[in-house]
Amino acid sequence: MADKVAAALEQARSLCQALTELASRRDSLASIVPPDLAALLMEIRFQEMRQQLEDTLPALGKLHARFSRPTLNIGVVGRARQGKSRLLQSLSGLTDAEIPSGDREHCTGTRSVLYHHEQEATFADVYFYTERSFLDNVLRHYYSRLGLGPCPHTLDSFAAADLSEQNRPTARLGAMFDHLRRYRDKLPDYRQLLHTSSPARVPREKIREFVAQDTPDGRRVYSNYLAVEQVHIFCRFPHGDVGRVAFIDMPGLGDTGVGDEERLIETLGREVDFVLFVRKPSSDGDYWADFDHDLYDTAYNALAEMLPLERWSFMVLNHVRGSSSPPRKDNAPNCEDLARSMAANGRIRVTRCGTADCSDPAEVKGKVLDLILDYLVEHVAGLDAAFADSCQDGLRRVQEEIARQLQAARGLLHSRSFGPTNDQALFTRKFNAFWKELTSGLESLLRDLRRHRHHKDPGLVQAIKRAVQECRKAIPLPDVDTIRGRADEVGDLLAGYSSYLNQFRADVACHFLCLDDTLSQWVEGVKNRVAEALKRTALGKLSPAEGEGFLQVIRKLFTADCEQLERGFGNLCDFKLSYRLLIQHRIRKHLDLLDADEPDGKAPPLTPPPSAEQVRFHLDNQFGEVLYLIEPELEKFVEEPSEAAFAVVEEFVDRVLRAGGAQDEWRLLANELRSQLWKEDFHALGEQTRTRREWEETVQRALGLCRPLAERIGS
Amino acid sequence: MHEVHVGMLGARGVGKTSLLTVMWHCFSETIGQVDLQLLADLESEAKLAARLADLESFPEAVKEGGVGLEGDQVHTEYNFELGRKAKSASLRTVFHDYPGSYLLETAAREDRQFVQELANKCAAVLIPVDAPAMMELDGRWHKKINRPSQISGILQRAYQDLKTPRLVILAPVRCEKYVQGDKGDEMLQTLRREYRAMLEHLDCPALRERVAVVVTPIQTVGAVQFSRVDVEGDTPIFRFKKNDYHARFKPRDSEQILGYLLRFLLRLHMQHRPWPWPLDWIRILFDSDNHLKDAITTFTKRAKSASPFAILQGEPLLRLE
Repeated sequence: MADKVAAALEQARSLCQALTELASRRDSLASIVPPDLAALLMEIRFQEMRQQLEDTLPALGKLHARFSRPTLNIGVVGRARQGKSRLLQSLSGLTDAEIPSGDREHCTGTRSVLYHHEQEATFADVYFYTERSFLDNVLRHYYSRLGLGPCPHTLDSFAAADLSEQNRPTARLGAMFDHLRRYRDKLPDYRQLLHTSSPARVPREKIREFVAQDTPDGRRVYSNYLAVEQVHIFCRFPHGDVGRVAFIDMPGLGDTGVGDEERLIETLGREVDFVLFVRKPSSDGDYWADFDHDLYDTAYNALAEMLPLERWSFMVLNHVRGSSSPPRKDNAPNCEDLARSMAANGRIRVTRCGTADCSDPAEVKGKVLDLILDYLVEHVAGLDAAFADSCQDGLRRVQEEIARQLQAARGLLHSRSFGPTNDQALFTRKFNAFWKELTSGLESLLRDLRRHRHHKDPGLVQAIKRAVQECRKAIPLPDVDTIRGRADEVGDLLAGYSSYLNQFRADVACHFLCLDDTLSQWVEGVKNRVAEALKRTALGKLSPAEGEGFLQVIRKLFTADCEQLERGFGNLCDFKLSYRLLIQHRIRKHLDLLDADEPDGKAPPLTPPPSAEQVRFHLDNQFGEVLYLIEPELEKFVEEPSEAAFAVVEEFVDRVLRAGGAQDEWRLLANELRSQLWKEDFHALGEQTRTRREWEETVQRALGLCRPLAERIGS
Repeated sequence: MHEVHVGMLGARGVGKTSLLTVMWHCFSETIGQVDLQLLADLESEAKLAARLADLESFPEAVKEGGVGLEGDQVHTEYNFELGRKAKSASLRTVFHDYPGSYLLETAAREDRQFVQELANKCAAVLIPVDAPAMMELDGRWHKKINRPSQISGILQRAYQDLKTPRLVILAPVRCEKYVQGDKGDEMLQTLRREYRAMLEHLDCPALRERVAVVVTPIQTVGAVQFSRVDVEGDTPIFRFKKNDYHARFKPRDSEQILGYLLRFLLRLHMQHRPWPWPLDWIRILFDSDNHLKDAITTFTKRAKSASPFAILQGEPLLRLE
């Protein structure tokens, strides 16, 4: 699925680029064409098309990220002190020693992803900000929110920044200001981490130093976490059957003040597949307040492009049991109240709302995790597919609309002349002269080929003789000692004889493959002659290419109207002679002389007593005889290429000169290309033609990108 | 003693002497119970024995790349005396062998004239045909080696105003490869095609009744067969191979030449008419020795006529019934 999404994404991005190019070309065109045409061009709404397309990209991007991930990520979202960290600890088996529960102080935005792994040892991969990303992504946000003016460009300038009290903003942003000051004051402590390569692997006992500001008992204050962008913690979940699920701690979301909420929301949209809200109802009575709704809305909007939150989220109401020491009231009734009121007012819509003691792993498993997993097992594939298809449909609708507008844009210049008027009489004169040259050149070539159709090409004869001579040299006759050695190797003289025959047979067959090159060169020669005949006409001005290259250049110029010409040039360009087709079977039948096996083998058997001398004698004779038979056999074929050349060129001439409509097709083409064929006579027209062609090609390219993917992403 | 003269019409290197040698050698090998013997005179026998030794060693020579035997440099008459076993000979058969170079364009005028006169006077001519030259590479080397046009010309001149019947024996030699299996027909067809001009001439009304033409392929060595042609400069070198590495000299069918010759002579006798020179002795020979006549009759019945052996024309001149 990820591949399909990537293909759709790539196509959409390319189309965006093509639309930008089109808009720019349109603007240039509008300045040189008559005003009525310019007005029509300016009506094409490229910007709007592009915008529509760009609107589909984030969803596709997120979809791609989602399908590319190895895990399904559950984001745990809740305001501070709602039991979020307790819940994460119950799910992951981690303790205060590794991740802060937030009992003591406000947590400050180190995002953690908790992965299950099978090993016993817990460790973490810590990803640090670089100096640049720290300045751009962290400090810039604080400076902007706090209205402190331009963000420092270097760490040194940040170290010297004036964050004195007179710069303190309103009380609402005080916590944020204090936090920025902490960044500055602690800079010497964590600065070197911004130059540490990521990820850095740290053992279990060190994890807390990178995710929290203090020890569980608050004795020691850390500052490393300030340099940390995110931490991936690998531990063995107590419930191993959740291997493909990861939990993302989203600290700070919903809490005003300290963190960069926007970036958290972005992370939520990009990395989270399922949201688990945590809310701890107060035992003194509680209700769904604005901040609850705001938090839900924030998450809803973050995921809206990809996931309908009401189908991809659970709400956990954190049940705190009553106790006498410390004195604490049970909040079970309040949980029930909140559950009821949530269902009643409909502002917060989740798939399911349950109550569980977040600090009790067994209860978390039974009342939260199992329910989530069951739900996902049942629905994830269908939801994914439906969402993927809906993304694709959205893209397709946009593509179709763009295609419709581009179709109209393509023909805009086609029937209009915006340059000087055509000189039809001049063109007719030029074309008639061209036609005369063309027919005379090709007919003359054909006459020559006809004369030589039974001609044995001396080059081919020489190549064959050379191949035979080289074959004699290339395959040496073994001396008797070597033959004895081979016999010892393979068993006896009989087996040795057989092995030499096989080797000779294979070597001879292989040797003549070199004639393939000879044939290719010969065919190239024929095409060169046709190309030369064409180049002697005005067509020669179209390209400096030679031989088949030139034929291909001309071939590419044909439009759909030039059926005969296309066929003629196509057949000629595709004309090939191959060793396998012409030669191989002629050689193969004689190789039986190098085969001692019944029934086809014609090599003489060894007669008793066998000897190395006898083997050598037969090998010498059989090999010599094979070459003796092959040479005249090959020489017989040397007329065939000349006949084939004549046939293929005659067919070409039939198509491009004699077939019904061929002359009209040349006229059409010549008319289209007149400014290139007769530059001096039709210069101004040339500019117009070129402009039109470029415009049409650009539109065509963009249209090509409007073809929706053939397959459904979700299928 | 009566004499019949046979002219060898073959170019240089075709194998005229070898042909005679194996004919002589094979006669005694194949005659069996038939009461006939063929004795070479002392001089002929010495020469033939020497050539036979060369021929016998040829299969071994092939292993070392041997390609053929040197021809004679002077005209030689080989005399064979034919008669009943342990009786005085009744008929001398004189085979005229001459250097093949007599036919070359570089030959002296009198040498060429000598060959022509030989053809004129001989009752039979034996034309050895180098089979590989005729059969291989579409006959590329045939004209150069077998010189069919020249031979045809010699016969045309010799058979003007012919008074007595003549026998022409075309004997493809070194033909082991071309008589294997059913390939014989192909060789016969090729020979008809390559000698068409000569055969058409001999088939003219004036000669049709007087000239018998037969084809008798002779395997002069037997143990070897043609393999390939190597060309050095403008000269083809015909190379032979042995499919049985240990095979020895074993010529075949060379007695057929003598068989056809005697059959021809016997038939002339059966016509009960006097023949002018050079066959004026026939009646005397056969009338005077019925035993010899019977022995010759028995021997000539062995003549092969199935392809690639063939009587191309003048069958009545060879008919024994």
